[in-house]
Amino acid sequence: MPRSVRDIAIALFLLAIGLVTIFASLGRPAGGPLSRFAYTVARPFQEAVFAVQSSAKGFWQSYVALIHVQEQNRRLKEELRQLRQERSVLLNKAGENRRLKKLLNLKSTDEFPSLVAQVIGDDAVGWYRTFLVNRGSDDGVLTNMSVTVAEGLVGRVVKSSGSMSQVLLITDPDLSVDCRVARTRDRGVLTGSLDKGCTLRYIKLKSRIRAGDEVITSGLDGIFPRGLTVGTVKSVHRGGQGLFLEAVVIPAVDFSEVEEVLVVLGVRGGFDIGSELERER
Amino acid sequence: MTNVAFLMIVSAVAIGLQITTMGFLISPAYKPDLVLIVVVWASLRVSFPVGMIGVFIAGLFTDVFSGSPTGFFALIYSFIFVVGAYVHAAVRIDVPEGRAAMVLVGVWAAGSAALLMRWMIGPVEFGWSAVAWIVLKSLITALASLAVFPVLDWLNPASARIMGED
Repeated sequence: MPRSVRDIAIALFLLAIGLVTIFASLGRPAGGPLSRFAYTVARPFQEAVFAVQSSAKGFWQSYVALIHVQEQNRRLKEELRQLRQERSVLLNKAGENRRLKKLLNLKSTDEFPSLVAQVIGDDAVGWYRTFLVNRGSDDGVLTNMSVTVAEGLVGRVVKSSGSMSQVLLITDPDLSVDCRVARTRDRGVLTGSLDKGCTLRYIKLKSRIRAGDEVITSGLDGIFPRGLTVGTVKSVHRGGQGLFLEAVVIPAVDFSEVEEVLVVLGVRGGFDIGSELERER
Repeated sequence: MTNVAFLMIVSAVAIGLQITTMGFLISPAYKPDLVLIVVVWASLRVSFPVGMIGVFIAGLFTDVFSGSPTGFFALIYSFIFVVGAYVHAAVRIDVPEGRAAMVLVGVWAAGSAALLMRWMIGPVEFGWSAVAWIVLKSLITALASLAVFPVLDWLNPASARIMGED
């Protein structure tokens, strides 16, 4: 066979495989044998590098912190005293809140079973806003599970295999979240934006939304639990050919600082988290 | 076979660096695409069948560790490999400036394809920020290639090839 024909045949064959793979992977949860193999091999290295990086960061921060440590110590003691007082008040309120919710047959998002995972890597190329966590399908993590931290919503699991999973951040344009404005209760769809954090779209024109409003998940998209903090409205403008309002939303989470996350072990949003889990509770 | 193994190893190291240390040194969005540098290097140094298969597999592994649909970077990198090889055959780009220019164009093509793919799925603003992102990332990767190419040549000195020969 002439060399040029062979080269073209190889190129066409791989092109066909690539196209078939792309179309086969679209709309289907990712995490085949290739992912399982790659994640299993990569995880120990990533954890080792993460440990070294954390140590280096910790050492540097400790050193810098020593400069003002005495003043900081005094201030922290004062804060601790205040926080203890506030904590006892909040504990009472949490108990009261739980009892009231039980009465109303509502389920608090805090009651979702969740799993702590460590961030052990970034997106391989950088064109997508994702990171890797050290929990996978072996730990019960599945695609479409939501990922949070104390500050608010981080994103959702898009690939899960073996001992690692990939999390798509809310700042990525590929992720859409059904949200509400906490103050006005108006609904909108939040998507990531390339330069402005996130954009809340399809808000009705009559809405009284304004800068500074808190945006929370509505739970109506069937993926994210409701009531999770998403971010704060920075500005509002008309969009969608003037039919809707759009708001620029600054995420509540600083993604560059996230080291541990909570994976919510339920793939259905809103009130439902699965009958098995419900029975367990 | 040696070249396939070499390509696999350097691609694995490149992916490993990109998902761990690189994000610590530079903002994740602007970190250089080391795998693409390996792809351009392969297009100048490795025979077509070996390079094509190696690059395709490297792309598949990049997809595993990226938010892209599986097969996306396998296709993009294969395309860049083919273009790189044939451009080199036509105009001899195997000088530092030529290689950097090829990397620059490669990142530009990969970034544009990634954004185009997302635009087809959902609303993405194609404004100045998208252009600036692609241009900056291309420049950073092209600059990084000036340092990475000599290292790859040093690691595998036997891989010199005249384009069109096996």
